[in-house]
Amino acid sequence: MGPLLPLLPIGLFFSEHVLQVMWVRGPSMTPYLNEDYEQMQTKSDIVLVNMWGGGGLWPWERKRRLERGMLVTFRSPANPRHMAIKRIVGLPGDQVTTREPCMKEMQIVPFNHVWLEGDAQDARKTMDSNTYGPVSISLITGRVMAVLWPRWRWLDWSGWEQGVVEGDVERKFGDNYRQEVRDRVLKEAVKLERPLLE
Amino acid sequence: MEHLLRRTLPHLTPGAIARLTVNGVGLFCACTFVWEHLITVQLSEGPSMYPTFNPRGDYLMISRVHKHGKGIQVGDVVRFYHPTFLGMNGAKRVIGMPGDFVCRDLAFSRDVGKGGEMIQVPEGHVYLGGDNLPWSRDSRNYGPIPMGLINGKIIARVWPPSKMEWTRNTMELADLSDA
Repeated sequence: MGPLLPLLPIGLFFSEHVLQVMWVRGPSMTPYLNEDYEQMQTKSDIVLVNMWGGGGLWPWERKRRLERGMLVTFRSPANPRHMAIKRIVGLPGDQVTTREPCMKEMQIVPFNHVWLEGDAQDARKTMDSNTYGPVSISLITGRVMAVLWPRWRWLDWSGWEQGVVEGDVERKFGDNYRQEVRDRVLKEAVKLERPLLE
Repeated sequence: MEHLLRRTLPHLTPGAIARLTVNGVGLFCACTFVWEHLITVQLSEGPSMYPTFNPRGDYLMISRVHKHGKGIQVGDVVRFYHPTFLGMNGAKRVIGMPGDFVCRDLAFSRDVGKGGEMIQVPEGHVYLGGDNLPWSRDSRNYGPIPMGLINGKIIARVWPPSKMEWTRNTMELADLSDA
């Protein structure tokens, strides 16, 4: 036991700051994650989450480079005990035309906030920024890197603007995946300046 | 020096170096765990909680067990990730818990309950206010914040020693009995 004892804190550190395995529950990211939620309600995808801050040298440095189309994990603003996975749809300064449960028709994403939405076609199946508004980047904990199970694949968001997700050659999700979501985003509608501090 | 080298070098086998590295990294990770999950000591910053805490020079003990708003009550002083500045922390007093009705005063005003609007704190959010009303940016500016941003509760001032004390919850119900 003695020589193995240091492995316990190392493992904890690794899962909190480097890589973490998470289970995706619910239909909000269907068909991207939990592909056949309609038929198999109990099955949940297992994803690998990159917990390292990103730009920073130290894992606890809270710097992060965020792009549209990324899948991120964050603590739900509506329920602090719940971790959520959603897709970044709008960055600070973007103007988003909202959908179903949102009370406002338009929303400009404020400084240090992002607009997150689930991939579900049906707005009632996802609880996202349309319910709780823009989400502070300080709430974001990690970026989903890969799906481990049931179908192993790396996630790639670089083709999000073209409607190609994870570079799928066979166009599993169609040619213009979620085009109507991108149509609702007006990029860099306003130029945001860093607010004054004190 | 030479004597010291001659004594330690034979023990520095690759195995020993590996074990030393693992122990060192393990110790570092254990310290990080305690710092992030149990207790943090931090220097106070900014005038918003004066006179409870000094704008600078006070070391505060922060219980990280209360992060994400676990066990937080009205009147507790919490530390939270600032909603608009990445990597910054703020410390404010909890004025309203989820479901409470609070009067949202005008930003930086000295008045309490005047010229504002009544709002209900949404599910999973808290309404925060600084003790130094005209010098505090708090929920009057940015509205109720998600409890997920809370990363600890300030439980004590540990330095300077003359001012060492537990942080008092100034909004507890008054006990008016004689006993």
